[in-house]
Amino acid sequence: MSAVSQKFALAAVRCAFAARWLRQNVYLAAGTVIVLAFLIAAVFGEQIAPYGANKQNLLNSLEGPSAAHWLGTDPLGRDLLSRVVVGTRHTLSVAVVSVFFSCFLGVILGLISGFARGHLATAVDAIVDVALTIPNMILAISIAAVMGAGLTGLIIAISISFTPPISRIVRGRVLEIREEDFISAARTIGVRPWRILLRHVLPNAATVIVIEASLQAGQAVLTATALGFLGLGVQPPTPEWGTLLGYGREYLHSAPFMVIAPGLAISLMVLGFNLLGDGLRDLLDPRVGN
Amino acid sequence: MRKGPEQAAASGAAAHAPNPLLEVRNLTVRFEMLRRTVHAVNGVSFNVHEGETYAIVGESGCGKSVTALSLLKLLSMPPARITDGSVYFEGQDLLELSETRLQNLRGPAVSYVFQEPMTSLNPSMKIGWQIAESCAKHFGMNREKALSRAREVLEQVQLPDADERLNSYPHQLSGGMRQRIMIAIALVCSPRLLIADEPTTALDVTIQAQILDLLSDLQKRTGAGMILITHDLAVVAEYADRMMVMYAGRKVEEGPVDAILSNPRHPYTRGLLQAVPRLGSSLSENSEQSLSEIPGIVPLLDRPFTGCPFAPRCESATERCRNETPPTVEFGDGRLSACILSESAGARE
Repeated sequence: MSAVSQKFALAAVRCAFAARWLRQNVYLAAGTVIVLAFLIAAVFGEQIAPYGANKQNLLNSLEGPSAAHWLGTDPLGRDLLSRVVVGTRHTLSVAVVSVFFSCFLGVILGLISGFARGHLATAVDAIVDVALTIPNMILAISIAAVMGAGLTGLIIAISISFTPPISRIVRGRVLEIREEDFISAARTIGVRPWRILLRHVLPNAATVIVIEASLQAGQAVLTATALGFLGLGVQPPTPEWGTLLGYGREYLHSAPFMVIAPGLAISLMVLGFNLLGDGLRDLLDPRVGN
Repeated sequence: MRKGPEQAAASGAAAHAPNPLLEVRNLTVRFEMLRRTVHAVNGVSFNVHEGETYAIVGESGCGKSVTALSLLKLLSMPPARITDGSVYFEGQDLLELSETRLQNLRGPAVSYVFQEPMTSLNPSMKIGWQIAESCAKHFGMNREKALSRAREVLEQVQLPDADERLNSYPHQLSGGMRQRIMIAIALVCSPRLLIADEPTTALDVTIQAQILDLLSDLQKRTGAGMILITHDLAVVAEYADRMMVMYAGRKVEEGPVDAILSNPRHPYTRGLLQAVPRLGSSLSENSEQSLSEIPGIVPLLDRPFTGCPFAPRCESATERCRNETPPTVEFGDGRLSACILSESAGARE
């Protein structure tokens, strides 16, 4: 075979590999695209939106979808598409920030309850066990009610209610890793326990944490919008999706497009996070074979 | 390295040296579970001297690894509990030390090489840092210094492309290479005692010899003591100076390797030696050089028993063997055997 044809054969093989990788990672690719799109909308909402989010035009009140207003307008004549696009920032930031906090807390608790022995681990286990028996939504509603409606309350409520499941998952993985030979090997060279935990256990649990975080982000979007829907989230006129949904409920019969717009956005974002999480699991978790 | 006559003589002299590197006395380890207690190690005593290779031999579950791990309290306690005994290393009793003091000794004083090179390395950490971690911790070296020390040790364990290896992850290496890495990790702090727990069990035969040659060569260079745990008598014959045979958590025979292998005193050691297949030996029972097995099974260790633990499987057991704890009989030249029947042949300790 000549050098040129060899080069072509090699390129063809590479293409075939790339295509297979893409096929196997459709979930990951789709999830990444959706989440990225929402991320862009969250950052550049005002620039992308065709109208101002709070710009009223009472002449156009409650208009259905049209070329000028793709998703219709609300009773005050505000463009729903613009409100949804600008509102991405609020919903996404609540989801991301609260997942970050719940992961931070959940990982610490999970590491303690998986690695420590004695009273401390028992105490953490007991608290997590009790927290797990309370439904997520109820816990979030009670915390939001105590904290008062608003962004801070929403984030604290979701962070706390999402911590126990993450702690459980981390604990399971730590219990598994703790019995590995390389942990005993680290002990035989005198590595101190907290160092073993941070340098040897945590990095090997990272995969599970990343996958769980992206799956939890989808759930956090649902919880955040549900709380907004119930009036416990960000207050109007801020165009948060849950709040938009709650507002639209009053017009469900006369103007159903008012709930369709934020509803679609919520579903799409949850789908994006779930696809991302599943894709990451296929890619990173060795126990899920192809 | 192959053991020459000069070295055998030197180790014979070392056996009578006044201060051994490691002195284990009456070590007793139990595993206390909810419903039962396993008597894993029962009153084992031995010494290891500087520059000496001391082999611990026995079948699976006889307490070899538990003995080795208890020396630096590396068993998970509970369920394990060291109920009796002392472990003197350079004069101090390791079993009396606090966990923090022990952590400072693990690595620079005593280090281990395990039998499972495939799972004993952290899959998410680069080789270089896994080797360097120990000396960074114990000698307070900064990252660069520790890594250059790691590079030095990689060359000592004869791994080619040391620079490239420092940046590799464990899955990129073969079993033999990983075992060399394990040895490098054990050696990076220049330990005074190296415990090799079946270091070659997971490797194929050609690599086994290389690894053992490497270990004993490095040991000769550093003058460290080595405890070699194995069930392979050929390895013992080749590399060890003195040996101890364990059965059911007890020491049944101890002495210089050559003496024991040529003239075993304890019936269990004799059985072990007859169970080693040799070239030209026949598998038929009538043949003179037939391969024999030891009948019966190892006794359960979950209750203390009276008498000799080997008595149920011993061809020459008498009524006394079943009722009396066998005395440790000394034969001179450092040979010991825990058998009532050898009483007449030697002096009681």
